[in-house]
Amino acid sequence: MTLDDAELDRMIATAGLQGLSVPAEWHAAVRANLRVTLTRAAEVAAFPLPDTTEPAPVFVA
Amino acid sequence: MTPDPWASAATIARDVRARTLSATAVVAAALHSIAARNPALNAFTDVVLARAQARAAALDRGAAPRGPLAGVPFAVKNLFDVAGLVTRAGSRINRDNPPAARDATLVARLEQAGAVLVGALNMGEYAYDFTGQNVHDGASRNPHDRAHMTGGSSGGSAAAVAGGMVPLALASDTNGSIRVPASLCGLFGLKPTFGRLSRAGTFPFVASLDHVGPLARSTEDLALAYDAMAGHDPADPACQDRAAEPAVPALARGAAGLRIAVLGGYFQRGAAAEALAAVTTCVDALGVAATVELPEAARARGAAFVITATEAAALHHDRLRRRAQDFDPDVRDRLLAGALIPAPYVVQAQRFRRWYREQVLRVFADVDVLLAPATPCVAPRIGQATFVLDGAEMPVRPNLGVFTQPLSFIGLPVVAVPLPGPHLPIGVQVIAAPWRETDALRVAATLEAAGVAQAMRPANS
Repeated sequence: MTLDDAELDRMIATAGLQGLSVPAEWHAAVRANLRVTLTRAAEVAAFPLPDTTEPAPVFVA
Repeated sequence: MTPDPWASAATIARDVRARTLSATAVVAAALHSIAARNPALNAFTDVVLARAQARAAALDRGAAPRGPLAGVPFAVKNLFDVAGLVTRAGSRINRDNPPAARDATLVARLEQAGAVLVGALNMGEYAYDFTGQNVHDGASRNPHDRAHMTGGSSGGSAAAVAGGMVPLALASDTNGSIRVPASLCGLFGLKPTFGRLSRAGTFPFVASLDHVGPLARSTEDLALAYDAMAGHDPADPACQDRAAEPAVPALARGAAGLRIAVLGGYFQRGAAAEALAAVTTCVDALGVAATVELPEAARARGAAFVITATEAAALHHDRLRRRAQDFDPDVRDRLLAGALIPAPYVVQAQRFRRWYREQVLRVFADVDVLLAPATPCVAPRIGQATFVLDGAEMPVRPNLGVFTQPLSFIGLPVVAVPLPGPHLPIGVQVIAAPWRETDALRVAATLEAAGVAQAMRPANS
């Protein structure tokens, strides 16, 4: 996954929808962390799993 | 008899039970050692002097049980509740909370076995750290060279034990926070199976991955503490109701009959020469011939990374909204990024976790114990931001756990064993199948008995 700064900044701009504030001086570090986390998330998401594979934490009633 | 601050928990307990040593004298010696050594090591954030003295006196007059840990001073990472102390979890924000009303389950269980709590210990903010540095309380320092990191996030726990202040400390391990500091400070550390030891009364980090366990200077001390703490606790929803499987009696069996292999592939890529040499030393001592690989270990680490960032962001969401400026900036920026990760990625990481667990359990059909490096290198210098990993310059903070994360991701029990080095020690992970802590401890004890694994007293102590 290739993510350019502008794409990541658009994601950071949505933080306000959650009530989170990301001042400009924090952007570079948040962007760097976002790039790493999204890259790893995409690698995991690319792994084919059967539809029947349950998430690991299964609630027990 | 004069207490020796470097005595093992087993030795202390034996002498206190035999009344050749008083608990009061042991605790006084520990408090003296803390006063003398802590200013240089910055391990303790709180010392509970009056409580410790009262508890020791109760032991000596027979008003408290002189159990298997009689008179053993211990301390806990400051995310464990201690009645009367604020559970700061390495943060500034939590200092505004009221003091804990009661002790964490494991603190209570250790004291029921006769141990004596002497204080709470420095840690990385909210446990999101592998370095042992803390922007609010300062870095804990490696007793083998104070210019170097302890590792984290249980840095104070490691410094307190390796620095000769207490023989036993409690820590937590979500992605490697027991095993990384054990490796960098030259200690034995046990991260039990997920769900084995109660987390009740500890401040959480990532509920899906949080474990708690002990750090000590010997395998026997790990086993003593583990046996004292094991057992179901309904106050922790993850804690499983299983019959006790005592570790101390198992140690005498050694490694006989256990099928041991070394982890190849992912677990040998990127490690520095000293990390690989430490594994080879253990392989040679145990006569290991087999090498196995865990499928998709790198992806497992990635999934652990995603679950960590997102669950931790959810836990701290309200604090991020209200008090973002009061976080350690390094922690805050990772949490803010975690809050922005789309939900499908999180669920997929949890689905992958189940798949990966099934694959790894198949490996354990043919082997009982696996060996792997605990850290990719010895302790970096405090403040060091990057190191070379697998040929690439990488940030230290998230990458010291490169070899620990794929194992805790599925809750495997692991004992980190220390091997001395010319300057700094380094650890090896002894990994067992789920619920088989005793297998890992038996192998650790075998390596210790052979003189291969040793918690060395720091040269300057």
